Amino acid sequence: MSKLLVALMAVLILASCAPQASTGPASLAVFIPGTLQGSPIYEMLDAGARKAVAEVPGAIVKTIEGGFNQAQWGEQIATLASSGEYRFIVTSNPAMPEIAAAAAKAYPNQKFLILESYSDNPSYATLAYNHRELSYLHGVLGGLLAAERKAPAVLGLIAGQEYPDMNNAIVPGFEEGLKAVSPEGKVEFRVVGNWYDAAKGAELAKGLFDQGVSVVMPISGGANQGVLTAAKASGRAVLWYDTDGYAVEPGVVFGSGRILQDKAAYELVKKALAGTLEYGKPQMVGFQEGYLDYVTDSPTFVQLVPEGPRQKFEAVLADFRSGKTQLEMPLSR
Amino acid sequence: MNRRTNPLASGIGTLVALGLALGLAVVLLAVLSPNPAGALRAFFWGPVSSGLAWGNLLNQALLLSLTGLAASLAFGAGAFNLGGEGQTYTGGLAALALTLVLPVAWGWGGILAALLAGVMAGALLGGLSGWLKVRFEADEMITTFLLSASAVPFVNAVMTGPGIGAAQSMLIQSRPAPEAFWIPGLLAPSNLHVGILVAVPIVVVFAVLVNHTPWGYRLRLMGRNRDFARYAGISTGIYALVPLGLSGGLHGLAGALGVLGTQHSLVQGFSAGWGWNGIAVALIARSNPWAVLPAAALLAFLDQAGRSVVLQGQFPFQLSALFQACILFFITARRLHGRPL
Repeated sequence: MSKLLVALMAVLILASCAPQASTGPASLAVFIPGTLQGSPIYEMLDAGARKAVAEVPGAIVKTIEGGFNQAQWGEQIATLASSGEYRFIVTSNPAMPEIAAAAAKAYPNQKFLILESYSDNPSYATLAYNHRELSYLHGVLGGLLAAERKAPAVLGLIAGQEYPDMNNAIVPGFEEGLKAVSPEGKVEFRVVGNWYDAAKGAELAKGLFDQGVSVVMPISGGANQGVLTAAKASGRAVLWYDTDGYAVEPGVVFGSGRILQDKAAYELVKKALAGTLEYGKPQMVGFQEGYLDYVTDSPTFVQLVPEGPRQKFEAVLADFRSGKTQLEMPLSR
Repeated sequence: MNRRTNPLASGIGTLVALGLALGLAVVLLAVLSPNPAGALRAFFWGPVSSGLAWGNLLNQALLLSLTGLAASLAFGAGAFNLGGEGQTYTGGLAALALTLVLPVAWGWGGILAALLAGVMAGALLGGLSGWLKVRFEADEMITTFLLSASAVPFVNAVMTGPGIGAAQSMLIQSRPAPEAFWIPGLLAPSNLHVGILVAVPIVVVFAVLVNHTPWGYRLRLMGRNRDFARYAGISTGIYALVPLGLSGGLHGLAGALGVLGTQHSLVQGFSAGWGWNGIAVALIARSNPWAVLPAAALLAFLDQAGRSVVLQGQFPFQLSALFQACILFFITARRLHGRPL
């Protein structure tokens, strides 16, 4: 009986290890390292990929939510790759090249399109955004708002965690922007320690407000909500980092940057489906290339930011859009 | 002989519960999935559909065997260890931290030392609750839970702190252990590794100890009736402290194996659910160590099946947890098992 069981198991394992065909219509998995709901940046990723797939007859796309436990993403990515069902796996996260490395090694025919990351792995097509430029502009606006409020030139930045892009590009860029308008200015940096704890976000924000900080920028996922609540209660201003956030908490969000992830996803997937996408050649894009922007045409922005600072800010923004001003994104890999 | 003592009757009860659970799975998949046929295939075939899937399934089953055995030992002695999550996590930290200071020339010796460090860390955390129970009559359900709840944020803070944190990683994780201390993997790139195979002899040894030795008899007597055990001259203090210490140690071992065998560094949340799922395994096994392996295999299959359905795009992420909870409800229903813990 036991021999029979062992034999059956061996047959099952061997049968299941057989390579699977990747022929047929182009198929694509969008892997969300988190959940779609409440994550505009991932909603844009999904929308962009789906738009590109819709233009190719017969192409198939499935969206898979990986949940919030980063320790499980590697296993999930490897499982997707091992299924052989998807010609392309599309995802977005700076950590994903590291997480998918084992799967890329084990399944060399699997191609990965990874946004918000930068890697020369030949299995990856990666595209990274110039966070130094985006955070610089936030710093400029924050400095102008603090000056307008006659507050100390101190801005708050609350992050979910410390990571290379945060330490090497976002915090320095934010401070550079602030110093461009207030040379004596400084940034108070706080870390939540995770990407979901709204209570901790509120606590950190309140601590900053008690120190006289009048403008804060949260980049902390679900903890952002706590920062908004604290800012609303204290009458302070919030800068929303990478999606149009004016409606998230009206009257509290004074400025909003924007990463055009939908555009990037659409273009990458379209090239991948057409067979013209280059792998192993990472791209870095910013304002001039049209993948970053600042939402200045919102009535809320016009209403909340007085004309003087607004004009100064838009002049700086115009220089970035035209390419007259460019900042080099430090590569942390 | 009633259902409480008749193994055949309780075995039938478990099979009925399993049948109901799988029936519920089929109904849920049919009702909630946009592609019921594909979802059912993903559910039943996904966990065994490839070498990778087998590796992940076996690894999870063996890990859950350790945490399930840990919970069973405590339950069997009448102690409720609700701190498995923190004990597992702390075991992982201890193992990782030791590998960062040991000379790489130690090789397998270093791996064994790190595993032992994981066991000790978990045992200390579990044993502390046992000591509090013996010394102050503190309810171990509360102390194990609170100590665990404190340990998790502590480990989270330490893993990114000076000397341990990975400065150049985009993940919330520690520096990796030196490669010399990585336990060799099996069925790459699955999570399976040779170290986890130790779970089988450990379960067998404890099953023999609990069921066929005077020590095990006294332990079981403690679990059934503490007052009677005391009147029988059994040192109830020792039998409150030791099972919790052992339980913590086994949880710590699971954490250490997860770090050295699978993740190779301390990744935030790497052991999420292992402690709680160990309790579920103990419930399914009715705290009988002999039943831990099949119970863990069943739970691992259900978990991998749920993940497979989500990964095949057939199911929303949040519903997978609900789905597993419904299944566990049936399987752990005491009424069907016919016997209390």
